[in-house]
Amino acid sequence: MPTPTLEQWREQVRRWLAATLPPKGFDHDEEPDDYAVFHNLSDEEERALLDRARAYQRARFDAGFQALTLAEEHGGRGLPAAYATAFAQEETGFAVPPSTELISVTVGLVGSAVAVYGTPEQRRRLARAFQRTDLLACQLFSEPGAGSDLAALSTKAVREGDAWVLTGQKVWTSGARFADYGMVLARTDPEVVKQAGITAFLVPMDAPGLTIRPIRQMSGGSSFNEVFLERVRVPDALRLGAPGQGWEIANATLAFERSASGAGRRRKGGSVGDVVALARRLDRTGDPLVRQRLADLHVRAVLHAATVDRVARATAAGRRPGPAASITKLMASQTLTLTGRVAAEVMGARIAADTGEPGTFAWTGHLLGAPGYRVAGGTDEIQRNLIGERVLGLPREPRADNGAFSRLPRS
Amino acid sequence: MTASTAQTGTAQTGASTLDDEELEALRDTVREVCADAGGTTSVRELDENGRGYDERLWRVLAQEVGLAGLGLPGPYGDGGLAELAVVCEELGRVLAPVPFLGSTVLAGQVLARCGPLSTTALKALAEGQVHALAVADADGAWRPENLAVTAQPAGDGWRLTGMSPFVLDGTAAAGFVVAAAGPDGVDVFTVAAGAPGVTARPTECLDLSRSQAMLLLDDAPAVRVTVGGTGATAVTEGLDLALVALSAEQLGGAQACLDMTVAYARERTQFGRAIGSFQAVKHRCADMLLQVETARSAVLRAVAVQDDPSALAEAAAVAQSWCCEAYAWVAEETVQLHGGIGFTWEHDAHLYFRRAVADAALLGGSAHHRERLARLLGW
Ligand SMILES: Cc1cc2nc3c(=O)[nH]c(=O)nc-3n(C[C@H](O)[C@H](O)[C@H](O)COP(=O)(O)OP(=O)(O)OC[C@H]3O[C@@H](n4cnc5c(N)ncnc54)[C@H](O)[C@@H]3O)c2cc1C
Repeated sequence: MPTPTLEQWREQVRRWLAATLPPKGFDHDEEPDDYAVFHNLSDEEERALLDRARAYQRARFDAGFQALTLAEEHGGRGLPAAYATAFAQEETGFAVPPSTELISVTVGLVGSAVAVYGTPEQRRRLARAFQRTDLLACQLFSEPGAGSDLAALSTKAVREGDAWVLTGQKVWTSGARFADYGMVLARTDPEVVKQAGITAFLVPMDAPGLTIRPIRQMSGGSSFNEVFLERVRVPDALRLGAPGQGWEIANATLAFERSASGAGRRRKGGSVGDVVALARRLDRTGDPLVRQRLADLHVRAVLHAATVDRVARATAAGRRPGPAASITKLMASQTLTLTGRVAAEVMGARIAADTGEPGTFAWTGHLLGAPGYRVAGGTDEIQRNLIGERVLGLPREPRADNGAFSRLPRS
Repeated sequence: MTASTAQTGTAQTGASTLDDEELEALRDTVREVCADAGGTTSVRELDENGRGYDERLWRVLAQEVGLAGLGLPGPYGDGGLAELAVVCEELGRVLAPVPFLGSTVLAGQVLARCGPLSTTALKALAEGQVHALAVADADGAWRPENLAVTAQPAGDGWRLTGMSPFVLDGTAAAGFVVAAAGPDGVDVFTVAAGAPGVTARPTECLDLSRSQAMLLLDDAPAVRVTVGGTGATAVTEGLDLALVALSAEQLGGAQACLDMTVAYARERTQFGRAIGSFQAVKHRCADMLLQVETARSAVLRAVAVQDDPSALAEAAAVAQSWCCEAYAWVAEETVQLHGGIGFTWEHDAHLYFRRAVADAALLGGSAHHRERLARLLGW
C-alpha cells in the first residue's frame, strides 16, 4: 500500500471516525464533568467502561487503524509517528469512548512488545488479540524493591521441564484485576550483572498461585494493584524473547510507554479548554492574574502539542521512539500538573469544598491524579536523567551496582 | 508583491521560497560569516568603533550575503519568515552586533506595509542603509493610543514633534520609521537622521551588543508613508513578524547558552568527577533543554502560519510569551552553572544574560504578550 500524504491520511481518518463515532458534544450528558485522571469506579462500572473502550479498539483494529507506527514486518502499518499523532488529533473532534490505562498498556505496550519480540505462534495468537483488545494485558514490571531501578527486580523464574516456575511480588500493576495476561519480568540468572539476567514472560492472570490485591491510590480509586506470584507455572511457549533478553524488551516497552504518554494520545483529566470554560462560568476572565495564568497554560499546551508533532515528524516510519520521548513525557506531566493548579486557583474555595456547582469540585479528580503521572512510566527525575545522559551526553553517575546481581546490596 | 498591494493592507512580507535544505545552507552561510568575524569577540570590540554595531560584519551580511532586504517583498528583497527566523537564530547564537533585527526586520517589515511613499526608504534599507523603528511608548510597548510623538501638516509635507525612547540601532540609523498621532489618527512617517530638529541621543544600554537611542523630534520634517490613519495596522502587523524573529533570536541565544553549559559540565571536574554527573547540574541542563526545545517549537509553529495573519498574531504572542522568559532563565542558569568564572566580565555568559534581559523587554515581554493572547483568544 503506498503511504498516503498526511493530509490524505487525516481525511481517511476523519471519514472513518465520522462513520464510527458521534461528533463531540453530541452525547453531552453521557460524560458529566469528568476531569479525573484515574477513574474511581466500582468493578461493574469499570467493566462497562472497558467494554465501550474495547468495542472502539476493535473497530479501529478491523479498519486497519491500529499499530500505526509499528514496522510492517511486525504486522504494523509502518507509518511515521506523525500519522499516529494526526490520528489522535482527529479523534479530539469526536466522542471517543474514555480509555483506561489497561487499554493503552494492552494495545500500545504489551501488544507492540509481543508483535516485535514474539514467536510466530505468539504473534498469531496473542499480538493480534492484544491489539484488538480481545484479550487484555497488564504490565508486571515494578516491584517493592525495584521501581526506577527496574533492573534490580527479584521475582525469579526457574526452569522446570517445559515450564518456568515464577515466585515473587509485583506492585503498582494498573488494571491487573481486569487483565487476561500479564507481561512479567523475572530474574532467570542471578549470577550475571543485573540487566543481563532478566527474561520476559506472558502469564495468564488466572494461573494457580497468582493473587491480586487492589491498592487504593491517593485519588481514591484502585486502578493499580499488587500481584503475588507463588510458584506460578508458565509454559516455555509463553516466554517472550530469549532468556536474558528481558531488559532489552523492557526498555523497548518503556519507550513505547513514554512516547505514548508524552504524546497525550489518551485524554487525561481536564484540558486547557475546560479550565477556560470554568473561568468563564465563574466570571473570572476579567481578572488580570487569571488571564495571565490561563494564557500561560494555553502557551504550554500548544507548545507541548507542537513539540509532540515535531518529535513525531522526526521519528521515521517503523522506528522506535528515541530519547526525545523523555522531553515530551516531561512536558506532558508538567502541563497536566499546571492545568490542575490553575483550575484550583480559578475556582478558589470551591476546590476544597463541594458547593454543588457543576464542573467545580470534579476538578479534585484532576488535581489528585496528576501526581501519578509524574511517577508512572518513569518518574520526572528519571526522565531528566535520560535527557541529561542520552540527549545531552552528560556523564553518568558513578554506580554501585556493577557486579553480579546475587552480590548486590538491596533495600 | 508591489507597493500597490501594500495600500490595500494585505500582508507585505515576502514569501518563503527556500526548501529545508536551502534554509540550512543559508544557516551555514550566516554561521560561517559570524565565525569569521570572531563570534562574540566582535561584541567586545564594539566600544572602540563607536557606532554601536560592527560595520564590517554588517557590510558582509547586508551586501555580500544580501540579507539587508530579507523578508521584504520584491523588488526590495526576497524570502519570508522562515528565512528571517533562521538568520535571527544564527545571529542570536553569537550575539552578532549588527542592525539586522532593528533595520531589516523591525523597520523593514513596518515600511513594507506602508504606501508608495515608503519606496525610497525601503530601497535604501534593502541596500544596507540602517533604518530604525521608533514606535514605543514610555514603557517600551507598542500602544498606538499612547504615542508621545505628534504630526502636523506643513506645506506639502509633515512636521513631527515629541519623544520616542528605546529606538533599537537608533544611534547608527540614517533614517527613522516613526509612528505619530496626527489629524487622521496614527500614521507612519519617515524621518532622515540629518534633518533639522532630529536628535538621536545614544542611551547607555544593558545589552553591550546593541545600541539604542532616544529619538527627540522638534518640528522635524517628515514624509507620511501611510494615509488616513492606517499606521497602527501597518505597525501591528509588521511587529507580529518581528515578534517571531525576536523569538528566533532568543532561541539561538538560549541554545548557545545551553551548548556552552553542557560543554562546561562535561569538562569541569570537582569532587573527582565531571560536574555534569551531579544530578543537581544534570537535571538543570535537562530543564534548560526543555526550555530551548519548547522555544524551537514556538518559532517553527509561528513560521508555519506566516501566510495567515490572524493565526500568526496568536503564534507570535505565544512565541514571545515563552521565549522571553525561557531565554532569561537559561542565561541566568548559564552563569550559575559556570560558577565563579561565569560571573566574570571576561566570560561570555554575562553578554548573553544582558541580551536575554534586554530582549525580554524589547517588544513588550512575556506578561504583555500573555495579556495580548488573552484578548486574541477572546477571553
Ligand atoms: C499511577 C501509576 C501506575 C503505574 N502502573 C504500573 C504498571 O502498570 N506496571 C508497572 O510495572 N508499574 C507501574 N507503575 C510503577 C511505576 O513505574 C513506578 O512507581 C516508578 O517507576 C517509580 O518507582 P518507585 O515507585 O519504586 O519509586 P522509586 O524508584 O523508589 O523513587 C522514589 C523517588 O526517588 C527518585 N529516584 C529514584 N531513583 C532515582 C535516580 N536514579 N535519580 C534521581 N531520582 C531518583 C524518584 O524519582 C522518586 O521521586 C505505576 C505507577 C503509578 C504511580
